[in-house]
Amino acid sequence: MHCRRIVITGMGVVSPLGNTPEALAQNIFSGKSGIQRFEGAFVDKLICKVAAQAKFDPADYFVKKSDYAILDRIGQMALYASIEATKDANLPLKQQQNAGVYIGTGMGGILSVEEGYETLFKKGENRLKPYTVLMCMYNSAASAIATHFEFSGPNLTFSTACSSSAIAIGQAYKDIKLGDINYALAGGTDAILAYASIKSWESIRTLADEDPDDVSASCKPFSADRSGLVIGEGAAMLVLEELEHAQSRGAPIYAEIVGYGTANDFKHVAIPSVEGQAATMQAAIKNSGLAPDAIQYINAHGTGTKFNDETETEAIKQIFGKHAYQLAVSSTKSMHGHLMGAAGALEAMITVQSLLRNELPPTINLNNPDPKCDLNYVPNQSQKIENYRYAMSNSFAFGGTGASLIFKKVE
Amino acid sequence: MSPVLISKNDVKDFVINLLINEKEIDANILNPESKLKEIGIDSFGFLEIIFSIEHEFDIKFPQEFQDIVTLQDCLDITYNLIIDKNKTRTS
Repeated sequence: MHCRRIVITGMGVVSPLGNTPEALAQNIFSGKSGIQRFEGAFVDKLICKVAAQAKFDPADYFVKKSDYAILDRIGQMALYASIEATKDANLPLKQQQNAGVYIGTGMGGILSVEEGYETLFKKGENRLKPYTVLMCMYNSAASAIATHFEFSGPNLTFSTACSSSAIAIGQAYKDIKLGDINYALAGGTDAILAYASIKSWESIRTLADEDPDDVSASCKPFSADRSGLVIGEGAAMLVLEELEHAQSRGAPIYAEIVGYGTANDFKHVAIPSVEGQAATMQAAIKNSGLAPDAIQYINAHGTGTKFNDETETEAIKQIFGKHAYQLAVSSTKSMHGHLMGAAGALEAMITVQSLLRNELPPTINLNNPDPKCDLNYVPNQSQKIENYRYAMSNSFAFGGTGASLIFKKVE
Repeated sequence: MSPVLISKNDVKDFVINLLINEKEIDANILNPESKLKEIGIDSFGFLEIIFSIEHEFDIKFPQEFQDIVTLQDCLDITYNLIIDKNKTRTS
């Protein structure tokens, strides 16, 4: 069978580091942090007052109020990112095509859920606004996108916690490869900075302590003084397209997806294991048909928690052997925080930008080496790289579902 | 407690403002005989309008509302529900 190749032809983003792929890249490769003091009504009640919020007021990004008023923040951000990705790919805005939407989200319309509960339990009212169901449901963002573009193909939502959008991209890649569709909007969205959800993260003690000297430096992946993750929010959307389809319409081609693997880390619902993370990377490498030493850069899951970073380092060593010390690994979460269900897609986008620029994004705030984390994490400053061809992006998750994606530079 | 006096014009002003500001309906195409469906209010949009009207005037629309077709129908039922509410409160 003729082997279909899948390329990325469009990108759109809402993130703590800007709402265009260009702004995102400029900030990421210059090592700028989007982490700051959380701005919200309930900030005084939080133990962890640090967050990576997206500067995204929908009124500034949509023409009409009716374009966004019936959407939860996840839908607003994902729809805007999708419109931008579609423009970037030179696709028409109303398409009526057998194309797909593949979205990952960890906590769905949690802000709308909280607003609803507040109305009932706190304000004591006895009814909710009519769109509440449609804003709370997990597939609200995917549905908003599919409806907007008039897609008739698969309209799918994946919720596997922090790997949700890497899974969404991987499953879109598989369906295009199988020939079910020729292109898809794939990515993720999450906006979980609601009081109850931050409190639930606080209770599992995985959130970073605020850096006393510099709030923006609170997330320190792979550093000995790391203390946890910083919650972020945003949406990242990619247009995935079959190569000949993209070429026939003269679309821009940013990178090729050459491998996707998923594996379940079954040992514990929340504590990562070397075996589980290694199995995920192994699955992607097997799918790509590459030798492991072809991989030159890994955008790590790198949450900044004690457990993840040493486990991921060990898993990389297990898969790559001596080559682990030749390749580069970095955690861009040090800058954009943890976008939860949108993290995998944002980091896939940054990995593609890395290939386009022949430049490795840094891990910032890496000032205290941890003996258990002894790889090249591109500390504090980006690095230029020659003969760059293959890069990998890792996503792991509570619940066990891991996903790795492998990208190839366009020759 | 004496009922708050609300005139037909108060109801009309409120609903028309809602249609123009919240639903972004062009004021020039609005008249009492406008059919809500034809000016772009779908069934969910109509539920939102009812939600706002109920909230503003502290009334409850009936579960079935197929009879509400035009803007005037909507204004009439709103006004009648307000009258009914006031009767109940004063009796």
